[in-house]
Amino acid sequence: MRFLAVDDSPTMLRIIVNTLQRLGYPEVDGASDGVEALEKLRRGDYDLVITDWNMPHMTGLELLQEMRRDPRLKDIPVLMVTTRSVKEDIVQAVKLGACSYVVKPFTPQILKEKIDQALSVATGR
Amino acid sequence: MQEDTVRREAAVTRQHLELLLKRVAEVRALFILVERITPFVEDLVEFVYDVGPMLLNASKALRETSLKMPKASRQLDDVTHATEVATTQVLDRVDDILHHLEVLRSAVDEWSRTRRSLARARRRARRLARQFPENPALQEELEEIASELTRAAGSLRQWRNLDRVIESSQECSYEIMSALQVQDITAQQLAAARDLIDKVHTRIEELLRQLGDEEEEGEDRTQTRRSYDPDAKFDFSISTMRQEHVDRLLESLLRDRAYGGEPVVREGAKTADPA
Ligand SMILES: [Mg+2]
Repeated sequence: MRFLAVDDSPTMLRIIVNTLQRLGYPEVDGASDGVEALEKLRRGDYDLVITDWNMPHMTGLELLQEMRRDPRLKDIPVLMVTTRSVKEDIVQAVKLGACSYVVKPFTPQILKEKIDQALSVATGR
Repeated sequence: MQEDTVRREAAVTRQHLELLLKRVAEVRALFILVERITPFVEDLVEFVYDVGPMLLNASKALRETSLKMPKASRQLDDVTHATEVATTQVLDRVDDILHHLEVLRSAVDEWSRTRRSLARARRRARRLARQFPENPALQEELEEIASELTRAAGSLRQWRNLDRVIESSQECSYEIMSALQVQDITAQQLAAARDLIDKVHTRIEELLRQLGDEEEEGEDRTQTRRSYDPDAKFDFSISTMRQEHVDRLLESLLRDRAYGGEPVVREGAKTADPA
């Protein structure tokens, strides 16, 4: 399993990567915004993208949009990890195909639960 | 004929007089008005005299405030940067601790393997002793070896609780790591405050320009902008509550999609943000 974690906060990126490794997913790459994430996604093979929403240059939502337009990336499950939790945001994310949604600050248990959910949605497609 | 001329002249003169009287009345009314207005005008002049310096002072104060604003904004960025550096240092130490705990755990695993092999060696020594009843010296020697092995195993036994200590230390380290999410969230709150300062700064500059005060050379305002959520909060109880609401909403949205439709927000569906 190879994951791509995307967050503009170096602290948060590191916490996500460490948490994933603790949860038994050692293969995790990081990107600091949507632009860098797209570059990495187009170069490598990933099983799951875990992305923040609020990022400069390209937000998590714009990344999701770009991924859904790209035939090679459109089926990769995307998990949003964000402080945003108003209804309109969630509806928007789901419309663009986010598989699951984690509210910051999160516990490792919640992250694990939502990763499993996102991966099962992906395999069920 | 002459009489007619005189009558006409008299009529014209009367007309002129009437007009004159009308004008005089108008002028009088004007004087009365001016008389009444004068105190207001005097007040107004006084007011302008008072307000002039006040406006000047206000403009000066606004200029001073405006000059300080980019610095305040930069200071907020510095705070964000400082917390980022500090958090990175804490994360480095947490990584070190986790690494040390892993080293300790493999030592503990090794010790328990050693303890088991000591116990096996002790049992063999006692079995061997029983095979030579005719040789009490050998038996005594083997018993001594068995006791030695028991003592050695016993000294390792005291570390058997270390497993739990390592586990709880690992848990603590992960909790510290989770708690450090506070840095990202406070950084977003600071970015929101900074954005507000920048907006107020722009408005003050507009106002000063309207007052004829041109912008002075201040600090560089072109700094990188952080993207933020103005409602970001660091509180695990709030995020747990929000997560539950999100889960419920998500479930209904994904169900709608599973039935072939676009996700719909039902009337009466509450906001996912209870906080
Ligand atoms: Mg962010």
